Amino acid sequence: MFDQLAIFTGSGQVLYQYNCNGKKFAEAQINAFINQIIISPVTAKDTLNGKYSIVNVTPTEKQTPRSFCSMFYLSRQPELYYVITYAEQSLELNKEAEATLDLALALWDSLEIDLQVTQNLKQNNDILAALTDDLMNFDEYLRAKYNESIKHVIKNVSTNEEEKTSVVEKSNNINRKNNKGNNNKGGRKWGRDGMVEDTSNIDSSVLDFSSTAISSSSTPAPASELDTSIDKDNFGSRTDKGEFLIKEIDDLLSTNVENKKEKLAEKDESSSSYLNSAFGFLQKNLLGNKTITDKDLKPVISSLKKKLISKNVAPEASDYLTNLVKKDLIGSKTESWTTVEDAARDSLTNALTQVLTPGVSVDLLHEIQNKTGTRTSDGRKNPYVFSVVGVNGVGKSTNLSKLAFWLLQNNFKVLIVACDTFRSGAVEQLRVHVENLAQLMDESHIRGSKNKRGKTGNDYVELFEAGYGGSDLVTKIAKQAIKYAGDEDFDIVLMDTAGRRHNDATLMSPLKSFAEQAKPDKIIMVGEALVGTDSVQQAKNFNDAFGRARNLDFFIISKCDTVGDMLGAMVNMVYATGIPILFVGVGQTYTDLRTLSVSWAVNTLMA
Amino acid sequence: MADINNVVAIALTCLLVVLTTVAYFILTAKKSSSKKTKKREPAVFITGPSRSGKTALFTLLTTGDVRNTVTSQDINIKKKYENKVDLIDFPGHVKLHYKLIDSLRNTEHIKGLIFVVDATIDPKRLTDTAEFLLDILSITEVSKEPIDILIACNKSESFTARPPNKIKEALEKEVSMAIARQKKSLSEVNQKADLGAGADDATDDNENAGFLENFNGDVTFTFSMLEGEVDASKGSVMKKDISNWEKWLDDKLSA
Ligand SMILES: Nc1nc2c(ncn2[C@@H]2O[C@H](COP(=O)(O)OP(=O)(O)OP(=O)(O)O)[C@@H](O)[C@H]2O)c(=O)[nH]1
Ligand SMILES: Nc1nc2c(ncn2[C@@H]2O[C@H](COP(=O)(O)OP(=O)(O)O)[C@@H](O)[C@H]2O)c(=O)[nH]1
Ligand SMILES: [Mg+2]
Ligand SMILES: [Mg+2]
Repeated sequence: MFDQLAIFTGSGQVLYQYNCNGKKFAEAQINAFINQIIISPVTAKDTLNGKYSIVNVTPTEKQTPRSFCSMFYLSRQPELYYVITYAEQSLELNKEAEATLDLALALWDSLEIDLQVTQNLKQNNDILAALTDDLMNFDEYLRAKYNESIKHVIKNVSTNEEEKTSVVEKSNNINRKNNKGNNNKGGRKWGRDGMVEDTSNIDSSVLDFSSTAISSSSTPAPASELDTSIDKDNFGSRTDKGEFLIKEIDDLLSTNVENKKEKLAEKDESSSSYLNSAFGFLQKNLLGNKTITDKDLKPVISSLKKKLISKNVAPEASDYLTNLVKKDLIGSKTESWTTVEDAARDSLTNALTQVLTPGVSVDLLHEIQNKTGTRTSDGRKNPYVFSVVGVNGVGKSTNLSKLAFWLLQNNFKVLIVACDTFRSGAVEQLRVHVENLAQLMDESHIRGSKNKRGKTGNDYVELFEAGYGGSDLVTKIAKQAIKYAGDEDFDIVLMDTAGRRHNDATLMSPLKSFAEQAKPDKIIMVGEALVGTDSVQQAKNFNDAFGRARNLDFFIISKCDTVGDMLGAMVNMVYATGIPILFVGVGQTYTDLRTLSVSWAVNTLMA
Repeated sequence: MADINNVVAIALTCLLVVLTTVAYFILTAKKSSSKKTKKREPAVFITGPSRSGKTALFTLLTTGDVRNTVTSQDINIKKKYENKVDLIDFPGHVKLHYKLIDSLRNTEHIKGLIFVVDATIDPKRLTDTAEFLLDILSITEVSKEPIDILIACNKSESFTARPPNKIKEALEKEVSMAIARQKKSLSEVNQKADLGAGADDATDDNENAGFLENFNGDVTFTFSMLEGEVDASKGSVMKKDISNWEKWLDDKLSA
């Protein structure tokens, strides 16, 4: 069964809410859904039959008690979210959810609530102004229809249950039989719900009576009566009034389809006259205040897409971004003195900004201070652990050393761990970095000398090494290093790992147990700005390598100094995973690490 | 006959003159529009972290009702609120802060900024809130007119709510620490300095630096150091108890 149905604006105003289980409406669940769509992009592949999108929401922090699934539709004029939530995806439930959304949308349309909402918005009014009656009707109709169709769900979901009463069986059988003969319009879609059988039985005079009775709307069927009908399984014993209500709703639904079509046709005609199109040209190019259509946007979108691709943005990501622009603009009006091109550029700028901006504020220094400020029960330090992963040669060791340098400057004691036990020379390369860093911290440090613990490095920075070997060795080193750091009062543990190709399963799979055993506070993926379209897959595979319970925490994008304005790889990686970029590498010295400036990246991409 | 010809000729010339001037203005206006023009309408912004009650407050102010709300992805705007200003409620989600930052930069007259906080939150957990506030301050403090801020301590009907002065103090402390951390963090990439090519719009960085410079060394931050006035007072949207804030708002609107 479903959890909740909600209709709300992008700005957070709720127009309609319904808890399908008769409980109190829980915004927290809807908020978790919204959070999810803000943070990770909804892509074409989440879309069902091109209309509804499905989003699985996994619990973040304390907000959501459990994960759930949601199906939603986003209307554009006005912008409204129609969301239905349920426990988990199954073929059956997806189908039912789709049908229920269809119903909600059809009812919403029939009652012309959209028109009133649009008008309210246009007139700067309360969005709910003059909607109380319509929304009450919507609620009543939806509950009635929903309760009818729920029989179907119950029948299918609880096949084992004794409760499958003969009444339900019968009504469904009759229903099926009737559907064959039932050729009138409207209601067809809903033909499977129990009450359609009555449609063909009631003669038109009764029908007239019912519609006047209800459209006077002074005596709507009490909602409580409808509510209880779910729980009490008294499906068969509906009142005559209930039957008329369903009939009335079906009528409403069917007449409206015709109306809508006519209205649309009118609209098309009026906008295609010659005068209009001449004026349209002026508006489009000079004056602004033009309502943007799909046709206006097409050339603009394709040129923006070309531009993105020329900056190394993967076609998949460009499609996603330009689709956001389309959704944002179609049906909206350009501002005075702006052209469609300007509007589209602005919209793309916003889309890029939103994609690149981290979804949670990441304040590393704060987190490090918090953790290293605490001690374990036996009085040892809690070091803050980073591990760095990525493809071969992207700059993992180099950027890890840059990170170490920055942390050293902030007075943290750093232990660098050689977890790349695979590539020969990897440990020696790290030793060089540690010697360099030790020297940078203390000019009197003599290269090759050992510190007081007999290790490479000095008081500030030290190398933890254990030679070469297989992946078992890697986890062993990692665990030992963390313990050692706690004993010896290190604040930071930085673990370098072996480079691996993202499509090499035998090398990728050890990452999972590594993360589970070493439990790093942050897993950083280094990606290079030079990589092309492949960056999408790289980021995805690395992000998925740690299992369901763990993700990458952030990216460092290296070698940004070598690509000019082709910063597309950044967009690709964030698009593919929703994981933020924290730092960018801009050269080969220890000071060549920078915080990502989203506005810089966006401006460069849009230039 | 001749008269009519003359009239037509004169009319045509007039029309031509009008058309060319119009065309001229349109073209020049278009050019300047590519450099974002600032919004002229005076405005009051409602901001603050997620779930603090901004949309609830906006709804109460504009409709007089207390309603259910969900997380905002976009702004709510009431034009000509009290016939004076645009009242705008911004989403609190970090990924959407850019909408506020953009508007802060592109609005000419900001009559005031209401920063709504959830007073029931443990003062020790105000780090993100303080960082957000610091982002806002680094823009409002360098604007031409000083911008006054109201820290609206919402949900005060709850018995776990902290008093406004406690929240204000906690924020000052957290902002101090955020400033210290910001000074220690890696600087942002910059086209000219880091990549040696092209002219970067370096203005943003300079702005922020200008504000932060005042806090060199170990001076702790207090709101009294700011150009704009910062008040903190309590209220509860749920109980429709927002008279403190309405008073503040009236003040700003009549100023
Ligand atoms: N107890 C209590 N709850 C309140 C009060 N005001 C608002 N809330 C609740 O706080 C929650 C968040 O309110 P919103 O107005 O949607 O929050 P917002 O600040 O707009 O949040 P975003 O849109 O995510 O930025 C809602 O569940 C409100 O019911 C109050 O005075 N007291
Ligand atoms: N120009 C430039 N080169 C970089 C950057 N980061 C790393 N490199 C170079 O990339 C090469 C590979 O780096 P390395 O750290 O060994 O890669 P790993 O195999 O991933 O550990 C080295 O020659 C680095 O100097 C960067 O930000 N800019
Ligand atoms: Mg390496
Ligand atoms: Mg809101």
